[in-house]
Amino acid sequence: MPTRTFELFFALLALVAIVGVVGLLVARLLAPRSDRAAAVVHTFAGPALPLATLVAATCMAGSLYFSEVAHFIPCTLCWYQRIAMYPLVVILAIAAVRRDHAIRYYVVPLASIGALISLYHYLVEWFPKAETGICSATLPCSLKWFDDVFGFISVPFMALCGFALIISLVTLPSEEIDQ
Amino acid sequence: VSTKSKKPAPRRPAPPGGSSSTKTEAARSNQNAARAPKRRIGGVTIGLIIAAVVVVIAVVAVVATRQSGNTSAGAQTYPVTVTGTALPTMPDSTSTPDPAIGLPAPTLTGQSLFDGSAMKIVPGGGHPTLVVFVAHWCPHCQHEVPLLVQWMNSSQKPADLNVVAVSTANDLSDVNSPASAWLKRENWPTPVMADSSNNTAANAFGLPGYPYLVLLDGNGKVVARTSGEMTLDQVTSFVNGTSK
Repeated sequence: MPTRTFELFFALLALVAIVGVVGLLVARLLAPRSDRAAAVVHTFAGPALPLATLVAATCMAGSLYFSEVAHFIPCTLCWYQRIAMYPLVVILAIAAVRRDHAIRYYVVPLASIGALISLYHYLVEWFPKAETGICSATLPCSLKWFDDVFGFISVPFMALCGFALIISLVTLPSEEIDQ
Repeated sequence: VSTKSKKPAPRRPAPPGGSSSTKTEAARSNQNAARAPKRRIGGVTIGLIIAAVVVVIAVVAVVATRQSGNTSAGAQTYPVTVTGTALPTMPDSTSTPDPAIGLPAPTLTGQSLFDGSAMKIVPGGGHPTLVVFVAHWCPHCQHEVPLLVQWMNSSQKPADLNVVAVSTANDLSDVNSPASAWLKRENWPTPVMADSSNNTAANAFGLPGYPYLVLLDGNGKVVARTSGEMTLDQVTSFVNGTSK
């Protein structure tokens, strides 16, 4: 299957993630006044940890696909984002099995750091002079591996969506913690 | 992370009249009891919705990319033969003297990026030559190429200067591909050699990054080398030997 198919697949997943982040944010804001919004929050709060695990695992799978199968070489900033994302898969999976919602205290800082790096990486892609005026012969972080998926979705953008959705999910109200 | 005492809240309501139940716990349990069936259905429904969304996205991705297909752009890399001694790699630091200055540049024998016809880059011949190395995926090259085209079409370019480009680091799976379409779109006015898949030409000229400009004198010796984006005035200064 061509790489373009996977690029589009992961790009569409990133868009779904954005919808999820915005939807959860709106639902949480409206929850005190709207039963329907509260029901949405309540519905997603239950399986939040398995869902967050699924998001982190998908991000990791996508990252590994692009580097190991499509041979998109990860730059320095990509590696920093991987450092933040990969451990989330393991600790979220364990927390999901144990239904340990206190994991948010560990996940949110890690995912926030990853999100900030993704944001910076995304800016470097759009404004390469934030890096240097040269594309290194070895590996520049300003290199966009694909620019034709809706014109704005790149690998750090996908990572940013993943981190944001993970944060949105693990911070949903939990009966064990928020009562 | 958490202690055992923090382990899951009971999924089922506590037995009515349980001795350890406080008023609040009982109320909470009743609340849970009322919500429990909904939550269980909700979890399954969410799972099914997610699975359906993923399947739909996968189908859309497969269909969309199958319909668009791969555009056949022709070969973007050709074998390149180097005659002469390769130049040392240009130092990263501008404070380090370039060891290639004064050295004779090698001759490159390859093929045109545009039509595959045979072409040679022969240093010397009585005219200075500017060899421009660009990579289609490099955003700095994407910025620099239109400027260079403008510069070549202006009076700032010395009349006796030969300009030739080398399209290097070609990869059809990268962005802004194929390079031939990009340079045609930018109306690049001079011959462009396609580098090999191993970047033979770039390595022979000691390329440190993209874009990369090498100025040769009429005897084929290196006058100056530079890498990175430049303004029109900087290009003129570089060619006239007044930069840096």
